[in-house]
Amino acid sequence: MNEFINQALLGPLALLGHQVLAVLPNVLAMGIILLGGLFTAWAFGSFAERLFRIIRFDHFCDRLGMNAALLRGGVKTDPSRIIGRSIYWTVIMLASIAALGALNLTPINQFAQSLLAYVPHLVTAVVILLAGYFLSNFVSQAVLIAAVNAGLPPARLIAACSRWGIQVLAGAMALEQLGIAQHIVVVGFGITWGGIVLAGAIAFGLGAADTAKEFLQRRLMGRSKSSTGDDLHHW
Amino acid sequence: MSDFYQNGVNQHVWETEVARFGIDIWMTTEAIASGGRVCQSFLGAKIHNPKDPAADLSAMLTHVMGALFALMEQHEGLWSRQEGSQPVPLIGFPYEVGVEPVHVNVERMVSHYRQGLTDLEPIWRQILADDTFTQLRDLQRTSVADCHIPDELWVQVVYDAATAHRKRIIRRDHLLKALTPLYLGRTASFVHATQGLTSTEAEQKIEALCHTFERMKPYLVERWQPPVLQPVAPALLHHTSTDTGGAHE
Repeated sequence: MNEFINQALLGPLALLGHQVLAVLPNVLAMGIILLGGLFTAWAFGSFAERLFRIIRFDHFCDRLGMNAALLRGGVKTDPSRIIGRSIYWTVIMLASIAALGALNLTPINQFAQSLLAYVPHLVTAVVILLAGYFLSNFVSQAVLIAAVNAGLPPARLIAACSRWGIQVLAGAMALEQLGIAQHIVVVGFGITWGGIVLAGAIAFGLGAADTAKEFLQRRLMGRSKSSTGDDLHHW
Repeated sequence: MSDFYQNGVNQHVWETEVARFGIDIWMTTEAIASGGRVCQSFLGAKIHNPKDPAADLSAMLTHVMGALFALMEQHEGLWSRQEGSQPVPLIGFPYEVGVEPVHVNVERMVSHYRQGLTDLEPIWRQILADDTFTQLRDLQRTSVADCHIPDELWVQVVYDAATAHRKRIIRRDHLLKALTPLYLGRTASFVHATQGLTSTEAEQKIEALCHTFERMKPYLVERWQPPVLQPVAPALLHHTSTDTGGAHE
C-alpha cells in the first residue's frame, strides 16, 4: 500500500515539484526582467521626453508645421510626449519578448523569436501608413487649391480622389509589408487602380475631348478665342 | 545706392523668385529698413509685359505676398513699433500718367471668389479670424453686382493671412496660393468701385485703402505674436500711391 502511495501519488507530485523548481528560477528571471523593463521603459521614456523639451523640440516642430499637422490629424499630444511614449512602449515590448525568452520553453521561445522577427515589418507598415496619411493630406490640399484656382467645378471631388488614392495605396503597401493576404492585396489593388485609370481615360476621351483640344490649342498656339475681351488671366 | 545693390547681391536676392515679382516690395522695404534716405520721383508709367505676371496670377501672388510676409517677419522689430507715417520727399515734378483701359471679366472673378468660399472653406477658416470669415461668407448671398469686399474687411484678410503665414498655420505655399480667389474677389470689388472714375479718383481710392491699412495696424500688432513693443519711434515714411508713375530711388 505504501509502495502504491509512493508510486501513484507522491511520485507525480515529486516530479511536478522538481519541474516547478526547475522552472521557478526562469519565472523569477522573467519577473525581474519585466520589472526591470518597466523601470527602464519609464526612465528612458521620461528622460527622452524631458530631453526633447529642454532642446525645444516642440518649438522646432511648430516651426516646421508638424504640430499643426498633428492637430489636423486629431492628435493633441505634443511631439516630445509622443516620442517619450513611443520609447516607453518600445522598451516594454522588447522587455516582454526578453522575459518570455527567459522561460526557456521551446514553444514560447519560437513565439518570441517570430514576434521579434515581425517587429521590423510592423514598424515599416506603421511608417508607411503615417507617411501615406501625411502625404495624402498634403497632396489633397495642394490639388484642391490648384483646382479652385483653375476654376474647376469638381475641385473637392478631385482633391478627395487624390487623398483616398494615396491612402489606399499606402494601406495596400502596409498590408503587403505585414504579409496579410499579399497576393490578394496586390492583385486587388492593381485591378482597382487600373480600372480607375481606364475609366478616367475613357471618360476624358468621351466627355472632355473639346476641352483637351482647346487646352492644347491654347498651349501650343497661344491664346484662345475665349480669352479675348479679358486682359486679366485668372490662372 | 551701390551699397544697397551690393547688399542685395550678398543676399542672393537677384537670383531668386523675389527678383521676378516681389522686387518692388523687396527694394522699397529693404531701402527703408536699412535706414537709407528714400525719395520718390515720377518716371512715367510702369509698363507690365502682358504675358508677365498676369499669365499666372496664383504664382505671381505667391511670390509677391510671400516676399511681403517674409519681409514683415524679417523686420518685425522695425515696423511693429512705428505709428503713423510721413510723406516721402519728391524729386522732380509730379504728373498724371495716361493709362490704357483694361478689359476684365468681373463675373468670372466673382465666380472664382465664390468657388473659393465654398471649396476652400476649411483652409480659409484656418487662415482667417472667425469674424473675418463670417463677413466674407455673408457676401455669398449677394448678387454679382453687390458682391463687394470693403476696405476694412480686405485689410483684415491681409493681416490675418500675414499672421497665419508667420505662425505657419498651414504650409506657406498653400496659404499663399489659397489667397488667389480672395484676391480676385477684392479685384472685382475694386473694378466695381472705380468703374467710370478717372485715374486720379482711382488713386484716391487706393490712398484711402492705404490709410485703412495704417488705421487698422493695431489689429495686426495684436494678432502678430508677442514681441514686446518698444516705445514709439519717430514716424517712418509715408507711402504714396504711385504705381502709375512713382519710383523709389
